[in-house]
Amino acid sequence: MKNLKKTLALVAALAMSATALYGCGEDSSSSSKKDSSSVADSSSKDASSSESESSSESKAAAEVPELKDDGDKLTILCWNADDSQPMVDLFCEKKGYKPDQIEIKNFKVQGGQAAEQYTAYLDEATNDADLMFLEADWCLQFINDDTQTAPVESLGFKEDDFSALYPYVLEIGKSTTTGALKGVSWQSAAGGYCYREDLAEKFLGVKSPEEMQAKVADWDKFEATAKELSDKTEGKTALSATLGGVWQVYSGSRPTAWVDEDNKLVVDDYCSDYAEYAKTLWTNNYVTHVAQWTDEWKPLGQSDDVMGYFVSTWGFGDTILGAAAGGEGGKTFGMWKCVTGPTNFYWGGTWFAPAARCDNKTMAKEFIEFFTTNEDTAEAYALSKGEYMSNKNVMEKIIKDKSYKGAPVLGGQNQFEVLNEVAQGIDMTGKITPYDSVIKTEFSNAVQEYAEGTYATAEEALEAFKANVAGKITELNWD
Amino acid sequence: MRSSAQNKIRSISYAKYGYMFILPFFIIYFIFQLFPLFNTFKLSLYGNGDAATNTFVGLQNFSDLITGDGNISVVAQHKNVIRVFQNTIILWFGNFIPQLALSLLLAVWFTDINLKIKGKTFFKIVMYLPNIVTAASVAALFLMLFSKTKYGPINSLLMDLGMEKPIDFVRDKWNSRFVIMFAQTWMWFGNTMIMLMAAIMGISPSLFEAADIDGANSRQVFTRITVPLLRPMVIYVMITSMIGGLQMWDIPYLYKEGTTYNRNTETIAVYIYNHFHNVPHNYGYSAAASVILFFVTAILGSICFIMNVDKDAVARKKQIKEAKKQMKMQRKSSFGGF
Repeated sequence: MKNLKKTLALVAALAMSATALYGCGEDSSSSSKKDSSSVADSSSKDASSSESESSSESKAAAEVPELKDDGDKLTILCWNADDSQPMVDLFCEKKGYKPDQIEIKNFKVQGGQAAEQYTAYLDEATNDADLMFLEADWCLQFINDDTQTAPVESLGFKEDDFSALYPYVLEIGKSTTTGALKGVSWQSAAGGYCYREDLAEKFLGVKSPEEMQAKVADWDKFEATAKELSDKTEGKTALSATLGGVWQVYSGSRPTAWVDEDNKLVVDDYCSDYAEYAKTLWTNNYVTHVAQWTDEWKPLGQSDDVMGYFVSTWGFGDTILGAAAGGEGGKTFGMWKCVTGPTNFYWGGTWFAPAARCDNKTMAKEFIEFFTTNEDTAEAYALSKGEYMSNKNVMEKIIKDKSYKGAPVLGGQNQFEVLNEVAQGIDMTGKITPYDSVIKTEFSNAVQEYAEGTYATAEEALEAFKANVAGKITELNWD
Repeated sequence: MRSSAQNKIRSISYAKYGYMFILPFFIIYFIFQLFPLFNTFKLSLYGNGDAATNTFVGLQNFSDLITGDGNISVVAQHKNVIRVFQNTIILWFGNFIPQLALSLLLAVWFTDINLKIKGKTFFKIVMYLPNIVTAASVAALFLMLFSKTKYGPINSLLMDLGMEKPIDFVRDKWNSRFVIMFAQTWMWFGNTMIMLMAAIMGISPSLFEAADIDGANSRQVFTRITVPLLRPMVIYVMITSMIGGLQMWDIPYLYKEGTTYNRNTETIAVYIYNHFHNVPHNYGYSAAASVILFFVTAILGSICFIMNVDKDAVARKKQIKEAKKQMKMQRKSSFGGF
């Protein structure tokens, strides 16, 4: 009797603690249930993924690690299913795979938080991963880490295979330490300047996108046009919605990398030039004082206070411009036109990279091919999703065939023609560092503060910028 | 000699089962609280940046943060920490003092038998409501109301009333702090009020009645009866609010424009968060800042506690002790004198 009571109490206590902990283990337990066989396979045969020690060995040994091909499921890591689900659906449909042969490991977080989720997930050596979706801002964190990602060569690609892709897309997918191509993107996020046709005609006498482009062809002309517009409207209408938008574009014109070979932050004339430029735009109300991604940002598009937005491939729908115009049937819907603007720029984008523990080499290769080098399937995806692909042949074919009519918010113009031009002109060679995201944010903050009057001179603002970066990145060379 | 039956009875200890039932709490506590706590201490002794995360650096992070003796990066760390501590203290004082004053006043009013306030329950609920709303929503609400451009509700109202330029409530140093203090006060005064009311209602009504009969006015009642007897609750409110205030994160973090953050409202917790999630991860500095925060909280908490110890009670205890001692001595000496 006594023993029975004891056992009962123990069982009850264990049951309680087990249920309490249940929630925490849910993710891994459900995934391991699904691909338990593949885990068993990989742990017994796959040396490269089993232990972190061996993967650090492979880092030292060979540049192109051998990947396994015996996993039964292609596991894709991503942070939402907006892209991955339609991609997998189309891939399965065209290639004859069953949907259950691909597992989308969706972390359901914002892009910015995905990096930490991935790291935690990959820390567990038995967790399966074949392909990883990486966001532009932090993709280098994984691409530079040979224990996490593998070069595309290890899947059987040669670099020439991707010659049809826009060069900047490949540039970003390269490791900055070894130079190996590890990530490719199926999309291109090139952007242009979108303006209100009616306001441009009324105040600037502009009748076509070509004429408009001539007025914003470089940053001096952009400022002159902003002045002209401001004078005509008594300071009511701004040429660009936000200073942040201008920075997004201006940052594309930086001629050098932010960090030089000596691992030092480069603060040069470019920085002071932009600080002064931004101050001019801000104090003269050539931009509104609204910030990007605030609640007031998009509704500006329906007032006459703003003539233009800088928009990238993904921003023609509800993300930016469509919503700014008030949605389908909105006040200014269909009254916008797109031009290449002062500088070629890209804004974000998602890359996929093979995981170092990939055990579905063939399928991973097919998947990447399907959306990048295979022009037929890439075109099919572009048309089904309205996506701007990274393969320029595909995009040129779509433009030539007129199979895509352009975003409805542009009222008949096909933005792809403009963006194709921009995407080819983006040159990122040698300008990428793993710190870009932090540095650019701090720089734009410092310039914003300078424009608002927190700092008296541009030099002070740049000193503050330098100190702020120093406060964030300790591993740079700070004398 | 005990019988065997007696022995058996003694050996049945029910406490054991009790321990088993509270075991789950401790397991969870160890995994999710105690382990991270120790891990933070450990991390604070390791390096920063992705390359140096596993390098042991001893107390370097602490000396960097506290003295700022080194290159521009170290100086920046030091300045940042000083700045965020200042911000935190300003924001805490700015919300705690009006909050305590307001809730004390309301608590006294609501518990006063002579004041016949109608709809007490209604007001109590309404005043407590802001506390139910998540901080995230509160931040979003205030951000929307106090938008700094002419399109924001408050600004457009002020401009309709004749103001010329919109006021920058979001990025300006003191305006943004003021809005955050106000939001914090608005969120928490109901909660503090309920706690103080509970304490006031715990005071024996006979004291108030006696004061009434003796002809004390309401100010005297407040300063001589309510406040002294409220002391334990005020200590409690102060300590909890201080811990919460030092760890203030949500509203300061979310009350910012778009994606740019405001240096003047960055609290320690926001600093820790930002450095932890920075892309070259600064685990060392954020952990060291957490440890400093831990000690600061502990020290301030103890000071609060010591300051509020009832001195009369301590003195009385001492007296009793003294008296006992004397009695003993007396008894001894009287024995000796026999």
